[in-house]
Amino acid sequence: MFAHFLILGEVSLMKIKHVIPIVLSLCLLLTMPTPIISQQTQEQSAWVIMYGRIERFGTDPAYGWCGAYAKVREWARVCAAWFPSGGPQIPEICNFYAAKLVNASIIELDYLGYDFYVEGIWNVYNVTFIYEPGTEPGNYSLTITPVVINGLGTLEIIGNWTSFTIKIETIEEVAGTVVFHAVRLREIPLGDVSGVQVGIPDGEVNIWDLVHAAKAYGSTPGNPLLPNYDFSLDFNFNYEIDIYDLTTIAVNIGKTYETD
Amino acid sequence: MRFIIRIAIIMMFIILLFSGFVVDCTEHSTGVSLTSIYISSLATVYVFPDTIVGAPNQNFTVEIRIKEVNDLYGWEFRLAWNVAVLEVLSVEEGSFLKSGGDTFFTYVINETEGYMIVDCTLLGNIPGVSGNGTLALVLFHVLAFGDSPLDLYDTILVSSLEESIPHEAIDGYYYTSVHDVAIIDVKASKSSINVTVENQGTHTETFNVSVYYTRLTDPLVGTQTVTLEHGINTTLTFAWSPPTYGRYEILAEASIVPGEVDTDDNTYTIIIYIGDTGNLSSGGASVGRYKRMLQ
Repeated sequence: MFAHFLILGEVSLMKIKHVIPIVLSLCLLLTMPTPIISQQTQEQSAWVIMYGRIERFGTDPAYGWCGAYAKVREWARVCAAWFPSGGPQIPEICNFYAAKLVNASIIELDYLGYDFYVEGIWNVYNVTFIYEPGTEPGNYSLTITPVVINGLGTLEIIGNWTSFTIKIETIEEVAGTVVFHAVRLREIPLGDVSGVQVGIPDGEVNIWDLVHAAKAYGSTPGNPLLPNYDFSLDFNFNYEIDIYDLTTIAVNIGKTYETD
Repeated sequence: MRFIIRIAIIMMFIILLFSGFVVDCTEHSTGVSLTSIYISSLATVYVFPDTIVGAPNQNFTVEIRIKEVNDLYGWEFRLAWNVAVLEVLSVEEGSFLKSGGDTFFTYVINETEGYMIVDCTLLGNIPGVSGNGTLALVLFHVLAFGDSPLDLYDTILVSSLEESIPHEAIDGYYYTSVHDVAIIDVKASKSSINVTVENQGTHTETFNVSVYYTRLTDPLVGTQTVTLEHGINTTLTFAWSPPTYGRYEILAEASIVPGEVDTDDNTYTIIIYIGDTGNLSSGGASVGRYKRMLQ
């Protein structure tokens, strides 16, 4: 209504040859969606999943895993675990750092030059499994030492989803390479960890994922008798592939999402 | 020339014969069966029994079975049915996979669209299970007349090496089959009795309809044979002459057709009063209807 009134007003002031382009421009403006609003709408409802390989801790090489699962501007789960010095050195001892996002304050896509950005409060622990050789797989001692409690930190993904950095106050940066990611407007179900090609998500939660987790059932990091532990299967990040992880897959069976 | 050809043919037979022995020797030395050399057996996932016949309000169980499988570690199947005819009451894990160790079994049922997704896997780094057996048992309830595919689809078999196991899937089929005839109405006058019979089953039935009255120890008014397609009813007229005035119980009876379960409605009884003028009582004191159980 307002646009119509404006057009009539301008007709009375301008010559007709000047009016036609203005009318066309206004019509075009009225029919076009606002790019900024559209982008915001997409970001607000977008789901994000990312798996990455940790390769550096500070300036030293490291070996580990990072996973992020989020709904933009609503919630985010980010976990990371890494072995300093490139991985376990002594077969019976498995020592690594584990970082977990406790509370997210910013969860954004395309934010400040980052492809994906999560900011919030983190906890970091030093975790040590000591296995007794020749005993049952479940016979181990576990020590968890807090390194950072409620520390401010970020997950930053850059390079068109190729690399990531985790920055948590008081510890050195953790950096690595993104190995899988998906950003979708519809729900991305948790649990797609494998497919016909073992260990490669295929866009559907099904028996491939369940079998992949089941093969690692009962395993813990560095367990010499159950070596199938994989952080990407440990959905509750309790350092053991257990019934919770199988159930997480089970509740999402049949759900699909588009893969690249 | 003929001799040479004969020699050549004989030599070919001998070569073929010996080559067979070579294979035979190989199989014995390696312990591999002849079947596995010549025929690669394909695992089969199938609905058992493949055809189920039932009736409304009945329950039945189908098994999802597997045969000739090697190293099965995990499986998934989807089963679809007609929601207008069937509903699922329960799904249970079969005995096959759990014979190899602890398992994790889970399922999702979509009652609205009429399908389920069922999954099961062994737990831990252990070998799979081989042979034949039951993967799952599904208990159905029959809601209504009709038929339903038991469509087994998107079946996935996974080995302990997390590899796909080639297989075929065979569907099942359910249909309703009911033999049921009924007398749904009886009307009597001083000269005739009208009996309305209905075929409430799913087959065309041929049966006898008889009418009695009680005044003279159930004397038979008459018997007529009727053939009815399912869902159809008809009214039969029996001529009669009440011997005297008084109360009469009129019993109409349809014979039980083979396979009939619901026989309660095969009889129908009314009570009428014939006045001394030969007319039906208009007082209404003794006109009544009730069904009688057929013993």
